Amino acid sequence: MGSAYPKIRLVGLCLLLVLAFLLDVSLGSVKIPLRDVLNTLFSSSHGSDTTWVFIIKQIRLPKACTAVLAGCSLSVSGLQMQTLFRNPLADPAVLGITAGASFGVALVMLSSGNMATLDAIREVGLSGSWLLIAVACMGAGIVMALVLVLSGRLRDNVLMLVIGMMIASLTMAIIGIWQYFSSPEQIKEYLLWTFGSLGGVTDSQLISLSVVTLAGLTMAWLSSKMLDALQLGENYARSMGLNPKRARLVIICSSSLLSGSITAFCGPIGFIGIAVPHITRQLFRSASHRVLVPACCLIGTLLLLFCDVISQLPSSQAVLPINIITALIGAPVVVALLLRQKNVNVY
Amino acid sequence: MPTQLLKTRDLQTGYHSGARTVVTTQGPLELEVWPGQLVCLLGPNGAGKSTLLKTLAGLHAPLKGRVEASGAEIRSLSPNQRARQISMVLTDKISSHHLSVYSLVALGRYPYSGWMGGLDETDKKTIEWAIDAAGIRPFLDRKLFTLSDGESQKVMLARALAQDTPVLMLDEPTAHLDLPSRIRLMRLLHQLAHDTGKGVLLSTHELELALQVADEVWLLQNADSFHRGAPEDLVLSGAFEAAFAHEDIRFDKQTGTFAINHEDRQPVVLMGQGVTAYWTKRALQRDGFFVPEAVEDSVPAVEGGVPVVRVQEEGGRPYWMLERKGRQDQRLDSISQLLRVLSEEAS
Repeated sequence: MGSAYPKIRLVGLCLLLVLAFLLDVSLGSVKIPLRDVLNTLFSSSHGSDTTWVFIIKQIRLPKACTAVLAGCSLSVSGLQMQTLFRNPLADPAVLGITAGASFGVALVMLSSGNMATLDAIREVGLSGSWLLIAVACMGAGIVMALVLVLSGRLRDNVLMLVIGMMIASLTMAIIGIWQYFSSPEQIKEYLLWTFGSLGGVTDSQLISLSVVTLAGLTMAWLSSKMLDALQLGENYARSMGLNPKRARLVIICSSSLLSGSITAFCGPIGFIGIAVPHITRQLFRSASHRVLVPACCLIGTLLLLFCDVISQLPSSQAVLPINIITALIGAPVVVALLLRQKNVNVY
Repeated sequence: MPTQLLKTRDLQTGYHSGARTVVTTQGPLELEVWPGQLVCLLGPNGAGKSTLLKTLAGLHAPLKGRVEASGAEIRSLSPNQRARQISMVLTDKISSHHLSVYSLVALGRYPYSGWMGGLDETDKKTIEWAIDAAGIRPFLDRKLFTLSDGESQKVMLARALAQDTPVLMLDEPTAHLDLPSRIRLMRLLHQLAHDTGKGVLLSTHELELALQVADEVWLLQNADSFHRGAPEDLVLSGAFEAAFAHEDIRFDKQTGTFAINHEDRQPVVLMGQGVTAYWTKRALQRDGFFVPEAVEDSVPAVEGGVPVVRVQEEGGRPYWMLERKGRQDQRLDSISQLLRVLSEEAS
């Protein structure tokens, strides 16, 4: 293994990341020249159009930042799931964890009358966003604990996925019943949310989201030694001195913080959580989570920014829901990976 | 005076399955593992070897009694302290695709490494020692999934050695290995125990191999029957015969091997000494002939209609003379010829 190659690759990926970020900020329904974008970003704006400054600072920058946060969160959460469950197909969406978070969001959106639409919550500001995060994270955590308890009795990778899917369907069914009895406005709001969107996160929400995401990522990074041990399976991990209960608690907490908070604000974004860890392992050829956690952040951010750029359909007014783009890109990636590996039990 | 590395008092093992309690070893067991000792836990499949091993390792609670490692009650130790007393090689499959041999061995330092799994000089030295002790340097840079079963078992051994514990436990380490790898692994373990003063405890159902390397055998036949002692003592006391008694299989005290019982076997008298005679006897027994113990005079046998095989040598090459009643003596040049002639006669 040469030492120069990984470094070049790392630098290259970082450059790509900067490029993707700039591209994401400079593209959109309103055409803004790149020079003005850079001006607005890096100098106290003079000479630029005030509308442009507003668009960049109030809309595009928060959106790109949200993409960064979501890319990190979802891919690290997926990585943790895949290692914890020793299953290459595990990710927050597949295991029903996103559904759990959705349940939390539905709880807030559909339960308390017309006043509690997402817009209303946004207007409440900071305290409202904390409520949404808390409920979504709790929903995610409860489902994850449930899947973990059930899968502990099975010890079979494929069956465990089926259980995750069943819990997801169950949760969605409950939400469905709820929707059935809700008013059309509430349903519309909720449906729009399920398409997923990186926009619509305000400055103040971005702060709470960053705080939660950073906390989750720090926990994930600190749990990398445990994750390394868990790769060998729980029995080996225990024989090496891992405290399985504590490890599970830390991993579930950080993973539900990460996937729950992002799901609360951006909707259930699929495929990032499953595809990015695989791509990262292939690229970095490592199984050490000290490397994989930050590497997943890098690749996840890059991929989600890229998806966001595509979703704006360059040179057009329309914006596609981000969920559609991640599925369009992620699904073939997952299929290609599976075809290459041929064995579901090896990740 | 050396002290026991591992000691049990009044031990009874088993597990709870729902409301039912399954006792796998009735006990009360009073066992010890001494420094430099290789102990083989022998027993048929499903006799409860794994449960006993896990109980001794402190990963499973005993039904009654206690296990002490270096004087301390093992269940009262923290997972980390326990991992510094006992390392394990389990039957669990490692499925991580990108784990390299070196990283896996380095995971053995889990109980000693820092918060994030950082390794210091002592850790690195121990890893290097473990790599050489297990003889895995030739495939150090390879990925785990490219190794053969024998190679990966040695890598798992190196990981356990890197854990640097007084006691090393191996659950069925020779399963899935071909005969040469089995013998090599057992010899390696034997040597390791003697050279390093570690206590090595391994479970196996392969009695012949255990007989050759074990300093002590723990024979677990079923919940109510447990014998311990030097392998030779157990052979002489008939404990092996009783433990492995089966209508089709017989334990031969003379050779320490198993023989397949054939009903109504036809006797063949074998005259001769040395290696050739030994292998001829094995071949005859395998083919279902009864070979009585050393006979002085072949005449009564021939008169009684029993074929007599006389092992002879000519110019350094063995040949076989077959004597039968009322027939001319026949000279045969290989065992397979001999078997063919004899079986034609029998049918």
